[in-house]
Amino acid sequence: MKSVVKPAQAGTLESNDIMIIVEPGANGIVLELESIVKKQYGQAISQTIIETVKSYGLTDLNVKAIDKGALDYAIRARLVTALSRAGLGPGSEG
Amino acid sequence: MNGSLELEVADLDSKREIREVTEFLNSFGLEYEGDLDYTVILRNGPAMVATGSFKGEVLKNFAVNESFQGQGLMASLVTALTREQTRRGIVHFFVFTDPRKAFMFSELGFSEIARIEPYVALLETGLGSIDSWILEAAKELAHLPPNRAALVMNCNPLTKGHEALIRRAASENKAVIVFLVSEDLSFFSFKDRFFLVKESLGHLKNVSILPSGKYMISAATFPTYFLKKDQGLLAQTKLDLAIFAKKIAPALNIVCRYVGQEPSCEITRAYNQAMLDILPSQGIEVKVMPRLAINHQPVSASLVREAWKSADWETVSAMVPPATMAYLQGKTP
Repeated sequence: MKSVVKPAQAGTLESNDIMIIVEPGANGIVLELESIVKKQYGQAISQTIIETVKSYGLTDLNVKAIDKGALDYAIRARLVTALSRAGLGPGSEG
Repeated sequence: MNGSLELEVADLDSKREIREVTEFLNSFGLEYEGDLDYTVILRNGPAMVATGSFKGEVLKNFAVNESFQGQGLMASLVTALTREQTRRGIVHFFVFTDPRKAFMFSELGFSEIARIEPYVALLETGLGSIDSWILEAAKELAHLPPNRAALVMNCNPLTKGHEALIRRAASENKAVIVFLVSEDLSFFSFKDRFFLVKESLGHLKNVSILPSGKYMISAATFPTYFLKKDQGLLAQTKLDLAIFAKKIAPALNIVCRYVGQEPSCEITRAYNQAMLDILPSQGIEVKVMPRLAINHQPVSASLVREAWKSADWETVSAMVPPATMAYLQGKTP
């Protein structure tokens, strides 16, 4: 089974971006989301994050996402970077 | 972020750079808090326009030049700092700030834990929160009946005085929680301090011994306790106790706090006084117990440490329970 080996962060707290922090988990995929648009889009952002995590075959992961209005593709890109930095494949900058 | 600005990591070994950061902070009426792990500076050409630092999990020493405010500089600083913290394995972040500046961090996803107007606010973000800590603690304490008494102790190391205080609380209450200070900044490690309390008092059925965690007398709630500086002492004691009274005690069914009288240490005495000032008004009784004296000498952990270092075994054995004695005999100062 795939898993991350260390904590990692990607993205920024700047407008139209999202900061994502991941760490190895033990209780399923646990997501904590802060977003300036949580009321309107919280559900959609959570779904994007959880589906992306699952697409890696991960079953346990702690995720903190601080969203400043990022678009869907940006959310996915930041998460992929965080996961690769956390040990799921080659790292990249971003 | 503003494209013309350069982000730079300060060299904390350079007296010149530290002086520059200090002068920048001073120009906003802020103090430079030393003993830092990492500092970043934003420059517009050679001129510093913003700075921020961290020590462990705690972000501090923030300042942004007014003419650059509202341009997302705080976001750049916090991004750079938390990225480095994460790289070092830290994923839970605190900031101890002026209540008037707290909104700047709320906008960056921080949640406020408590504030003491007009002095200080404590906020947190990242993985971990006071609510999740309280949930975990509540589970650990599920076997204890409500109307619990609590003690927050360092036990560095456990003396007969600490033991008497805990036994007294245990005899007067159906349930007692001993929160042992988790922060590993005392002479004896948390692991050893915890082991000694368990050894001497673990058999008491109505007493639970838990790590105090990050929300009681920690580097985040109460840095002065470890820094031994008196600056901001009053605000910090009040902040620590506000978190206890408003968040921890109600959620964990704590109605009373026991504390030993403090004859010598100024910081502990200020903390005890703040307890009497704050907790009763929040419905939490405070019971101050006279300090245990042996041969007319008040028992204290600092006295034990001194006696142990000078191999004064007579004093040590008079003041500590057998488990602490055995531990100290097996260890070199």
